Amino acid sequence: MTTLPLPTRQFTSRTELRMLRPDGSTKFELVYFRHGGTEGTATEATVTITETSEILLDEFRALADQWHEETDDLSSPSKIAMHPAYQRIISKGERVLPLILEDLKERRGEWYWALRTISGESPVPAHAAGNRRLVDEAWLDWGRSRGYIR
Amino acid sequence: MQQPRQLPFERERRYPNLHNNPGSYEVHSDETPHRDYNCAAWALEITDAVWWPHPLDPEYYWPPNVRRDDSLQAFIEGYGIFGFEVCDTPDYEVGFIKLAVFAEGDEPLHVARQLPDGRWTSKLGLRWEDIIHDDLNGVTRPDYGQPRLFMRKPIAQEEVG
Repeated sequence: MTTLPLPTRQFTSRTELRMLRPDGSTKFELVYFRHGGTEGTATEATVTITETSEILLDEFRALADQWHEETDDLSSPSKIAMHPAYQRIISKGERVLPLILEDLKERRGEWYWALRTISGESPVPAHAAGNRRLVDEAWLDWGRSRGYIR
Repeated sequence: MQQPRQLPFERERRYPNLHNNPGSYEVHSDETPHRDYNCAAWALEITDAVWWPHPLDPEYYWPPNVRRDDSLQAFIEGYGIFGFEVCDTPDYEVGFIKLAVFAEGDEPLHVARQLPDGRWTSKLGLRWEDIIHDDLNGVTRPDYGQPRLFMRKPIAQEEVG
C-alpha cells in the first residue's frame, strides 16, 4: 500500500480518499475535513493527486488475488469473467493490459475475456481452442508485438 | 492402510460438503498448473483440452456443428455426439456410464462423471486436482449449482467384461 503524507495534526476530524472517476481514471481527490474556529462547524480543503503506477499495481494485485482465490476452481467462463474483481479490472481499461499479461505469464488464468474486451482483438487461432498453452502463447505474443510486455 | 489423499485445507473448505465429510472423497490426480483440462472435458476422460460451449470464448473447445451457448441443451447436443442420452436419474445402473451436469437454472456450471463403482469424479476448475466423491452432493455449492441434467451411455461390452 502507498502511504500518503497526511498532516493529521492539523486535520484531525475526518479524512477521505475519493476516486473521482471510477471508470478507470488517474486522479484521486483527497479531502480533508477539519473543525473551524467555532465548535460544530467545519471547513474543508481539497488536494488533488495523480494516481501513481504503484497505486494501480497495488489495486490490481489485490483484485487479481481475490479473483484467483475465488474462481480458480470454477469451469464456467461466465462465472469466472463476471466475478466483481475481474469486472473491476476490466473497467480500468488499456493501462492494465501489461499487468494482466504479466499475471497470465506468471500465474496463468482465464484472462482472455478481459484481454478481448479491453483490446478489441482476438489473436487466438482456431486450432488453438481448448489448448491453454497455445492460447496463452498467442496472447503473450500479441502483448509483446504491441509492446505491453517484453 | 494408506489414508485417502485429501485436498489441502484451503481448497477443501471451499466445498462445505466435502469439508464436513472428509471421508466422502479422495484426490485422484495432481493439480494441473497449466490448466490442461476442465470438468467438461474430464467428463469424457479428456485431459488435454478445455471444453465449454460458451459462444463468446474462442479459447474454449466445443465440438463443431453442435449448439454452442451457455445452456443445458448445448451439453445435451455436445455429449450426444459421443453417445450420451438424457436419462432421468443419477442412480447407478449396471452397464451404463452416467454424467451429471450441474446448473443454476439453465446455466451449466459443472460436470461430474460416474465411475464403474457408482462413485463420481470431478475436475475442480482448470488447475486444481480431480477428485472422486461418494455422491453428487459432495461438490454442490452456490457457484457450482445443483445437478440438473443426467445423461448415460452403454459401457462397451469389452469394458464391462
